[in-house]
Amino acid sequence: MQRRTILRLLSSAFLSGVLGRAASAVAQGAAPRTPSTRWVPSDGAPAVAGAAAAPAPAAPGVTAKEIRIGMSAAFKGTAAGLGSEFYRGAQAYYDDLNARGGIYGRTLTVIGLDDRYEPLPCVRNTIQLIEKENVFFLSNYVGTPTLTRALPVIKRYADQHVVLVGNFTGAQPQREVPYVDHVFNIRASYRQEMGALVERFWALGARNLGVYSQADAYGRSGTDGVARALAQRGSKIAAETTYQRGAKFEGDMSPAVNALRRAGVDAVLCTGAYQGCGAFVRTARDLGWNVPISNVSFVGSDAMLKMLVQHGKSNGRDYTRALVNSQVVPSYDDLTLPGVVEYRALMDKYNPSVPAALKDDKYVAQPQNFISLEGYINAKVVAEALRRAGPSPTRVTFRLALESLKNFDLGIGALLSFGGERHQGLDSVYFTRVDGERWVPIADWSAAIQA
Amino acid sequence: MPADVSTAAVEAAPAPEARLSRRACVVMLGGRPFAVDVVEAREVVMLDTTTPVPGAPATLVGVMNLRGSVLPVVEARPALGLPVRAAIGPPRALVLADGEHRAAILIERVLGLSAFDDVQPPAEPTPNGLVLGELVDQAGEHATMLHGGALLRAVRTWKPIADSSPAVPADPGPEAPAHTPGA
Repeated sequence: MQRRTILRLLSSAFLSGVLGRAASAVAQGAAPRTPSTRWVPSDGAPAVAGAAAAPAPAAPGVTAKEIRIGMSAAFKGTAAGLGSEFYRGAQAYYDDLNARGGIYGRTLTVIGLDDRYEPLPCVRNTIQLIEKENVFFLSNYVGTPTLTRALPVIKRYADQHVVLVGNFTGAQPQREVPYVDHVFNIRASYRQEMGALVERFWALGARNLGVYSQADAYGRSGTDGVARALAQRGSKIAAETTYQRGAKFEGDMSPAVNALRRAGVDAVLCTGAYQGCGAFVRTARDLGWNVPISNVSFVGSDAMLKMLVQHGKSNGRDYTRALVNSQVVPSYDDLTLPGVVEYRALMDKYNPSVPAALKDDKYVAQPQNFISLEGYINAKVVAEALRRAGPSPTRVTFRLALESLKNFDLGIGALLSFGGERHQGLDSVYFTRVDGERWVPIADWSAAIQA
Repeated sequence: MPADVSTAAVEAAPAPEARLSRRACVVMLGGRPFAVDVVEAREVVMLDTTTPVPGAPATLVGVMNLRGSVLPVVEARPALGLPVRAAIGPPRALVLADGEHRAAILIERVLGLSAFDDVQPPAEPTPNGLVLGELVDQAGEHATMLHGGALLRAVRTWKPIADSSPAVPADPGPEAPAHTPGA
């Protein structure tokens, strides 16, 4: 009880001060319609016990017409592309769902708050979303340094059964005790991404692997993944370099490039965001170093590629050779996958906008990309769990509904499974290289890393 | 040729020992966060009475009685090129220890304990090796990592006022006295 009081005091203080000025926006869906038929689980899974019983007292964030979802992400600043596209992908699915009557007549509304990819605003946003915006649950947070600071706050609301569903980070803290119980991770982890990348480079004969990472919890998480994968092979990272979060594409990364080059590394595994990692690739190539460079899913592959291609056009240099990025969703060009076809159709149809209060004027939205595809997949998982939670959802039945998802087909060629002891839904890691001005799946690794 | 996809489940490989987290005590000095490895930081003390030492260098504020032991109280901020600021609340100091050598370093406030994995070396070496580099803790917060042992060694070599050579770098301009000796 004392803990709750403290939280409320904290919340009041924040709300009367900084948070009063925080950007906030509500994405409105279409007017709800009552569905004509009652939903039946598509895979034959039973609806959550008690879900269809007599109406329970309304859960926080749930009204007769609406379910409110809280999202804190980078909508502005150097990482604006990450939060904006993550939001757009989810919103495309929600827009379509809402246009078709929502779930049990309730539209899904995302309450988005900007944290600029900084920890403290993310903490404040989390408190505001729960205490003031009264959301049913949290979803689609972006970033490791941000989420790792918000996790203790989310845990403090355990007595209210608040959960976070889907996030754009593969770091470990939300996958481990004491926070894993409060988070449903959908994507594979950085540890899995790095493990798979190290495995591929190792198979190609690379033994001296170097690391370039953002100097924060995210960068360390990726570096830790490399260290673990190499430790399994009785090896160690040959050389480590870092850059400061918020670095710009125009930045000079020659100290890091030169340090890794002097160490004679065979490949560089990067853990960073698109501007800082793009700056590293640009600097390395400008210095004539054509070492294979990899990035993980969080980097913002399309935003980075756009910068590299534009810069290459200005000086006639190709910055995209021997560049390999891992992804946790399939290619958005893979039209053999029904989920991808649906994603592209909904993005084309609704082309969701980030609410005006959250819009970064410098960022230009992309028709499709890996980030919005992941946001779309997360929204699909959320919607399925809300259906299974029944017409009178509570935070407890929603949680149980999530944990009931077993071998759920998202149409992306991989089945999602949660459980009481499993709060990570997918394990797949995909690999991409640049062909022209697009990321394409890697079929031949030897060709992909050729300079 | 089909696209390459990894579906390996979460691995439970142990972390290499070299990457195990360390902890640091983070304090405010000159309005900036500085960290000292907990191995070198003994405790934070409130300063009740500090006895001035005649002829001592300006950096030696005095000595204090810490549970029966005489402990030098040192003003380290000018040596770090930092402005001297008043403590927030009662005057306090961070006790550093390196073997038998101990000293209390005046601080403005304690920011807390921080877990970190490694320290990014400074771009250029600092005089006396007082600064180990930049610490970014697991929550993404930054602090300058001090070498407690080097700081204690520097304290022991600072010369008295009577000596004509300046003991510390030029003071960038104190904003307020951190502590009044004997107060």
